Amino acid sequence: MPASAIAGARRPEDTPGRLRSLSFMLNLLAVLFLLLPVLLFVTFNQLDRDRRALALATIRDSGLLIGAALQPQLATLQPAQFGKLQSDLAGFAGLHRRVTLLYKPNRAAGLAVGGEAGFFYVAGIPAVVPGALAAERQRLADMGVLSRLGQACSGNTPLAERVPLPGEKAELLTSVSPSPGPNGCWAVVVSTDSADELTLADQRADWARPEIQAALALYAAMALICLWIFSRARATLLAFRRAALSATEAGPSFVAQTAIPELVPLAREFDQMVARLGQAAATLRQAAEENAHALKGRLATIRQLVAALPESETVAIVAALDRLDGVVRSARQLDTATAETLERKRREFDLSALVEAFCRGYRMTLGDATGRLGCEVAPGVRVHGDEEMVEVVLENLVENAFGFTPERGRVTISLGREGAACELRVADEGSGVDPDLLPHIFDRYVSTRSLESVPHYGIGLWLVRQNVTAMGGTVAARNRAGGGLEVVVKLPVS
Amino acid sequence: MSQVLDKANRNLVLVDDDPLFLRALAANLTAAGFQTVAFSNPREALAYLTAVPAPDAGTAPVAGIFDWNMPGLDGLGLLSAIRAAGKHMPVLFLTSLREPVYEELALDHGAVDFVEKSRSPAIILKRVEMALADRVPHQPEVTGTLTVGDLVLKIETKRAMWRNQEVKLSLGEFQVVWRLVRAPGEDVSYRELYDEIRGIGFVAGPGEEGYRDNVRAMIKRIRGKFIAVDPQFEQLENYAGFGYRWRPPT
Repeated sequence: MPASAIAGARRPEDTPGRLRSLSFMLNLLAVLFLLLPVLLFVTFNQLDRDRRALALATIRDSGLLIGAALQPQLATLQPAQFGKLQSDLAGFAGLHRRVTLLYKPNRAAGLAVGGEAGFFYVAGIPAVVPGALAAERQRLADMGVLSRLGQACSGNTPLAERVPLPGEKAELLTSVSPSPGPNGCWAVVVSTDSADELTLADQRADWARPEIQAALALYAAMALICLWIFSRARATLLAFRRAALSATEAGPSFVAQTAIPELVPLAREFDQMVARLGQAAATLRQAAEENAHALKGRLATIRQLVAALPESETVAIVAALDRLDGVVRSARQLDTATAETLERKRREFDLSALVEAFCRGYRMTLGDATGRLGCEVAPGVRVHGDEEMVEVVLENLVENAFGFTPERGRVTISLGREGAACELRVADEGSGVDPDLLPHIFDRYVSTRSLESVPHYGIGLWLVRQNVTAMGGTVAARNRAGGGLEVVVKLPVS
Repeated sequence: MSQVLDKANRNLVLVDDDPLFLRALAANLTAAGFQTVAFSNPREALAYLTAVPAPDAGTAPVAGIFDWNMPGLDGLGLLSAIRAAGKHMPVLFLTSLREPVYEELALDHGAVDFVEKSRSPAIILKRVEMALADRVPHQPEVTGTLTVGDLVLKIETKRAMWRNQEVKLSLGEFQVVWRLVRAPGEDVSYRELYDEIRGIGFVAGPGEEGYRDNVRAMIKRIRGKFIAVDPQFEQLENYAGFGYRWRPPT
């Protein structure tokens, strides 16, 4: 179809993609706000783990060092000198550190076997008072130290075992260092009572710090404020959209829909625009009536004056007056229709149901010839606009089509969906329209019918375009391959 | 309308503020066998029409042809004034106003016809003849009260009550509502509603085209009046492509 065959075609405006919608942004923002704490948590956690590992290694190494440092002295120490070990050990005291010095005499020495593995408590930090020895033995047994010390008096065992003790804070056994003495075997057992801080058993330690919690609270507040501002902006814009879709003077005011102070001047401007539209419509209506009134008054006088002349001389004048009268009437009708489109309320409605109803209704007016109007309607097509405007569109298109279609010819209305738009087609079986005239059939005062027939001033199709455009749609006409004219109305669907 | 017409008396009172039109109209009516008294000042016309003592029966005006828009006193005001003075001769409006609301107002005030000024003199003449033939305006034959759901129509006084509140309808609007509620739920075509409007008091209408627009405009006014007393009102339903119906009460 050549471009010139399309009348009233209009490029559909580009609409921004969904990725730029406020709703999408709002969701993205929410995800980002959630992502940051997760990332920070993972990082903090790793740092914390590293720090604890380092501390643990230091403690363990210091345990082994204590064992190694004591080894030369223990290797030559006679039982008579065991008493001074307690004061020597004092030099190894440290924060949270507990050192226990155990001694197992050789069986050959003939000493009685002490404890399950034959080890005796010799000294310790902190010192154990004699009355508490049984308890200390029990503590060592609970820690499993005694069972670890095998028969061989050699080999260091660096450990990092968290040992829960009944009724006490858990202990972390950091090293057990056996070393041979003159008549037996020594064991230096080092442990720390800060087990919980080092074994990562309490991972919430960092998060529980008040600074972190304050920071978290600040962050959460910031995120909430951000999301709140965003959703408020979105809600206001949606309210604006609602107000715009039903913008009439009687409709909701933009200012009343605005929750954001910065938007109030804009809302006021919109309200004023709506008010100006209403005024424009009223002015247009009044001007239309007054112009027609003034012109018709003069026309009426001319008619009366002409009537006094012999009829044979005035036929042409009367015909011209008839025509002028028609033009004046049309002009008034068109201006009134324009005023109407400015004032219409718009709402969503079921176009399919309307077209179906129109077909039934129109067939009733056709009487016996109901078969002359065909209807093919896809269900569930919803559009935003005014039902009466669509009814006027259908009326004019169908009436125009029947005007072109010969006796017994058919007119077909069809409605279908085409993506984000719907297409309403009215096709007839007439002779079509001269291709040169085709692009102009929706213009004012263009009539495709012969001038000899009933006076006709091309209002109908102009009104069709007026109403369709007011609903954000387009209208075009083309000659059908098989003969006849087809008018295609495209409307955006909701 | 009880005035006995003297066949020989063809006196018309013409009132129009456009002297040129007035002269041409008077000339044509005279040529058609009428006698005319023409006034370009409506106040003078009022004084003439309400003069005491009244002119002799033989020269008393038998009908008035009034323009609508006139300075000082408009045609409707003139009509009201002569009716108030007890003059019941038929009055026909000859005006270039076209809004249906003017037709209805004219009817409500007792005019017998409303003719577009720019129509051909032959048609205007015909309408004057018909007005003089004293056609009785079409009236509903039913009397009494019609109640449909929340709507009560008092036929004789032409009053409509919706949920116990009066809805001030013009005669034409009342007629349309009455036609619709006589058969609630029945679809009434644009054409039938148009005829219903035209039937009242009007001998003929100003052309056929745009009758749907006229009906729509009137339905819109009726709706507006009902909604003014009850914002929830939605009884008047459109049947696209055909006409309107009154939704039956549930």
